Formats: sequence, structure tokens, C-alpha cells
Amino acid sequence: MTTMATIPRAKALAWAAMAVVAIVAPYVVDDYQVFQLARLTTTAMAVASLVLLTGWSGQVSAGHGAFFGVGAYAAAILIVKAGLPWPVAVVLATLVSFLAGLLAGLPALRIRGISLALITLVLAVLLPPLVVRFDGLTGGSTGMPLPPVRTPAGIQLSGAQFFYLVTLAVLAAVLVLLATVCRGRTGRSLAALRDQPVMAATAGVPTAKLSLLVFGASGAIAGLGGALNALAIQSVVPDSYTFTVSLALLTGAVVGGIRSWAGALIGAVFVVYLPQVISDSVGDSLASHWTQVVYAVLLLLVLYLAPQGLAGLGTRLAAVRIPGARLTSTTPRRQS
Amino acid sequence: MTITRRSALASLLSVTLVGALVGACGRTDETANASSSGEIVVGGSFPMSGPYAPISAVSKGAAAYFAKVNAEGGINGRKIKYEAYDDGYDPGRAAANIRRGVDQDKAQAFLTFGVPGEVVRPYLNQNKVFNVAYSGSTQMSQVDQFPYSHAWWPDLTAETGVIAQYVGKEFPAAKVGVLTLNNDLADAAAAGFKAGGVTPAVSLKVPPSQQDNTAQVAQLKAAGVDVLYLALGAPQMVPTLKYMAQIGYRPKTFVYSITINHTSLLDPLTPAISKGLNAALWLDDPADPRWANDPGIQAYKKDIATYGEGASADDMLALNGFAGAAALVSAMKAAKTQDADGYNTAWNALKDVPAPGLIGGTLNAGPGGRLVYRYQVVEFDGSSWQNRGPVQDAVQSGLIK
Repeated sequence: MTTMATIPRAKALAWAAMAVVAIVAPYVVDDYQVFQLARLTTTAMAVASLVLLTGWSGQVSAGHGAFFGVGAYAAAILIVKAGLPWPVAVVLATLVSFLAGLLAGLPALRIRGISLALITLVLAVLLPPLVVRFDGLTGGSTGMPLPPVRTPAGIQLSGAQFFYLVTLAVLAAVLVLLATVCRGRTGRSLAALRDQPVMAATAGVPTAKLSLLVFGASGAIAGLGGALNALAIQSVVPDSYTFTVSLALLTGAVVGGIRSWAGALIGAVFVVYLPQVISDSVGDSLASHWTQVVYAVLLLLVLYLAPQGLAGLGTRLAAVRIPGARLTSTTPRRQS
Repeated sequence: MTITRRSALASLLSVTLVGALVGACGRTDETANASSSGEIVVGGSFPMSGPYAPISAVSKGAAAYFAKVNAEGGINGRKIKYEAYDDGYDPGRAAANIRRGVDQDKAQAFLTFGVPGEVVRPYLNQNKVFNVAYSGSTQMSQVDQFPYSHAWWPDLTAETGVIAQYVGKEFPAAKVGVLTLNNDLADAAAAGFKAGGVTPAVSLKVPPSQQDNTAQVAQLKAAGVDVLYLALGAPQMVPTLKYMAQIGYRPKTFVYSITINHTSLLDPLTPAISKGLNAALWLDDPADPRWANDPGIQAYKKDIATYGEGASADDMLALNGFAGAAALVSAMKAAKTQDADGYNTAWNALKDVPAPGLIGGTLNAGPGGRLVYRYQVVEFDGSSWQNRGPVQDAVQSGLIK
């Protein structure tokens, strides 16, 4: 048992409670809510990929919706055109997204900050017209319908329940993997890359290789989320992967907490549920005027009151109110 | 006190076991919402926020018609409960809305719009929910693949085909240009011009998010295009036409009929620019004084005033939604059973059924599971649309097969 293998009890209990709620939820809510949960888990993967890339390695991506879309389209093409079973298609789509991430990471070897953000934004802007251009493969502007994921014989679950539990298991595996990798030596290397890249190189951190690998891994995770999201929605269409999706994912990561895995979940809630909650709250007749205003005001409030994201706010409150809940950090952090 | 990684893993496994046990309470997939009594639930998913928010007038028009039907006693004594949700023109949110409507509200029919509506078609058909789509996409004519999905808007191929035939006849030497969105509007426009026997000299496509089309306008002008077809989104139409006027470029311009609206298009343009615009209409323009004394339009305006809950009666999109809902109600009233199969059979058998504001007067089921095929080519004289030639039937003229 090492110090690095320990987790503060309060935090562990919070994760365990979340896991119980997430596993029990599909049995107590209807299939519509289960479908929303599947959107949440798949979106959380994309937000988590941004937490890894931007929060941990300091490389800003404003175009992560492109990887989400690449994963979705790769899976759809492999299922619809190549006739592959969906699990195989999802694995291959993740690999395709990894390669896309590596390619997109090449500029990161030379530039950082706002310039890198703009270049990644270009990827997001380019994807929809590119998809339309190759309409024979992608279905063009109207996209492709995907067959529903069927529950295997012998399991008494609806298709929505089964697929949500699959996405939940994948999300849990992704988060555990990310948390494990980012703890210890790799985590310290990423923190060094983020805070002092020159010093990191001097200290022997292979910054170029690490930058590329993180971009690739981040693209793979976003693509994995996109592939599963497309299977949940049962279609791919260019309008689902416009640059506004990238901005929504980045917003979710910042609101949730750009260096927090729990923040990825909170960010996904922000992306998936908030627009609907606002629309439902203000009513149809006012939605066109007030939805964006309410969204912007909430975003400003969160950024003002919780600059480290809602997860950071929760951690601070827990540290104040729960004796013994003081959190340990295994990586050096520069609070900004 | 701390928890080790091993004990955390054990906890996770325990939780998974609990989940598996709870799995005994799982359920299986159900299909087909139908009821023989009580309310008839109709769902809707439209962009009520974001750049496409003006389309929400369609939903308001439909809601007004359903409210009018309820006030008049409903369908065989059963009231219609209309539940519409905002999708912000996001296919993901539309997919969620459909599940909310089908799984939670138990909708028996669903109204959809545009590309997000095409995305959700498979789910609606798997669950046997009758679907009326406000879409001009040719894809929405695939009733062989999606038998429960029918488009209320006519096929845009027919609209551009009618325009192409008119242009070919009236301006045989014209150099024709096309500027469309880079989605299915472009495909339908290309197919329509081909069917109408006209080959555009220049065809340009722009993304829906692009507001500045000055480069495309300059390209069309430089190419000498003197007949132009514009199928852009409503937010792009005004700046594009204004820029054309600013640089003194005045080709014979035809605009996509769905974007025609006094409030959002003709009034902002002012008569100096809007005069001379052309279109192929399949629905009356309720703001046009030409139809002010039309009994159908008068009744529509009275109903919108009573049941519209703030909808503008002059908004052509509100009339569009109102008339589409009227078509659905006609099928519901004629249906032998109040389910998707009943509605489907009735919709496919509609013949000479009157609909409010429809050019050509009546609905008739035809190719592609659609009901509307007649167009009137018109030209705006600064205050009113004037007919140019007779009403054209796209089926009879061979544009739709």
C-alpha cells in the first residue's frame, strides 16, 4: 500500500455513491431518462478527454467536437457499410480517432495557447463540409441511420437499459484508466509539460512525444464517446458535429473543472441537461429569446463563483465542512 | 482513514453485483403507442432557440389548430394533447425529445422539422409512431423504408423543377445561377433543375452557419448570372439580398418558398429590394393583401387570434404549421383505428381534402407519401404577390414520379 494508492475517504464515498446511483438509475427511470443518461455518459467521455488534454497537459483544444464526430462517423461507416458488429466498430473507431488525434497533435509540437486553440477549432469547422463532400461514404448532409443496439438473448433489459449500462462501464473504465495514468510519474510529467515545458524538457521529460501521445489519447477517448453516442442516438449527421459542439464540450470541461475527473461528469450534465432544463423552464414562447441569455448568465456565475469549476467548488466546500475530508494531491498544481 | 485501491475495486464489484441483482427488475422493449380512449398525444420537436428559432412559429401554428379541434369537440370526442419540445436544431436533442415523446408522453403521432427530423425517423418507425415532418427533403419521400414518416412540405425538387420549367420557358437564353445551403437543399435544387430541363451555369453552396455570402454574390455577378435561385436559411437571405442591391446586382431572383415571410424577409428588405423577387408558392402568404378576403385565410386568422397564444397570424410559418396539423387531423378523423397503422392508411388515402391556405385548394395523397404537389409561380410587386402563369402540378408535369 503506497501513499499514491490512497484516496481520501469522503471522495471515495462520493464516487461510490455516484456509482450506486448510476447503476440503479436505469431500473427506476423510464427509457427516455435512460437514453439521456447514455448521452450523459458518452458526452462525459468527450469532456474527460478535454480534461486530460487541456487540464493536465495544458494544450488547449477548441475543436474536440471533431474527434467526437470522427469516432461517430468511423463507427457508423464500419457498421453500416462494412457490416461489422458494433463492439468491433467502436474499438476500430477509437483507433481511427487516436490516429486523428496524433495528426491533430502535430501543430502542438510548435505552438501552444490561443494559436493551438484556433488550429483545433479549424478541425471542428472543417469536419461537417468534409463529411458532406464524401457523401457516398458518409450519407452526405442527411447522414446515416444506425441500427439499434439489441440486448443479448437471455438478459431481461430493454435496449436502452442495456446500452446505457455498457456506456457506463466504458466510462468507468476510461475514468479509472485516466486517473491511474495521471497519477504518479506520467501525471508529474504532464504537469511539468503544462506549467514549464522548457524546464520539463531540461529535466528529461520527452515533451514532443508526450504532447503527441496525449493528443492521440485524448482524440481516442473523445472518438470512443462519439462512437457510443452515435449508437445511442442511432444516427450520424453533420449537423451533430458543428463547431458549436466543440465549444459546448470545452465549456462543459471548464464549468465542471478543467483538472477534475468528477468535473468531466458535471460538465457533461451541463452540456446535456442544461439547454433542455432552460427551455422547459422559460417555456416555448420565450425560449427563442431567453435560452441563450440564461445559459450565458449561468456560465458567467459559475466562472465567477467557482473559477476551478463546480467540482473544485464542491471539493472546497467538503474540505471546509467535513473534518478529515482534506484532499491530497499527487501532482503539483498551479492554481490559476 | 483511507481506502485502498483494492478495497475501492471491491466496492465497485459489490456495486456491480447489486446492479446485476436489480437487473432482475429489467424490462423489455415495447412498441406502438395506441389507445382507444382518453387523450390523443401528439409530440413535437422544433428549434425554439438558436438561429432557427423562427421555425418555432410552425409549432405554434400546429398548437393553435389542435386547440381549435379540441374546442370543437376533439376527434370523435377525444381531445388532442400536444407536447412540443425545443431541440435547438441539434439532432442529439431532437433524439432525446423523440424518446421523451414516445417513451414518456406515449405520443401516437409526432411532428418534426428539418434534418433533426430525419435523424429521428428510424426510432419513430421502430416504435410505430406516426410522423409528420415539416421538411422539403427528397429523403422524406422514402415511405418504403420508413412507412410511418410522411413529409408535410412538398418535395423541394418539385419547387425547383417548377421554377426551372418557368425559367426555361420565359428566359430561355438566361445564364442561371444557384446559391444554396450545403445540405439536402443543394441536392434537391440540383435534381429539380435537372428535372425541369435547365442546367445552371454556376452552382454554389454555403454552410448554414455562414452569414457573409458577399464572395459568392461577387462570383455570381462576375459569371454573368442573370437568373438566380436562392435557397438559403432565413437569417442569411436578407443580408445576401441587401448586399446584391448595394452593389447594383439585380438578376431575376427566385427565393426558396419556406423563407418567404413579411416580418423576417420582405419588410426588412423594403419594397426597393423586395420588388421583383420571385418564388414558386404552395401556400398563401397570410400577410399579403391579395388573400385578405379569402375565407380560408380569414378563418385561419380568427383561429390564430383565438387559440394562437401569441403567434403572429401574418407569419407564413404559422399558417404552415396550422395547415400541416389540419392534414394530420384529417387523417386522424378518417382513421379506423387511433394508432400509427390507422393514421398511415388514412393519410395515404386522403383525396380532395381541403386545407387552410393551400394553393391548389385540396390535399391529395401521391408519390412519396406526400400530399402537396401544386405550385404557383409569383412575382412580388412591392406589396403583393402577382401570379406568373397558371398553377403547376408537379406530378402532372412529370417532375415528381
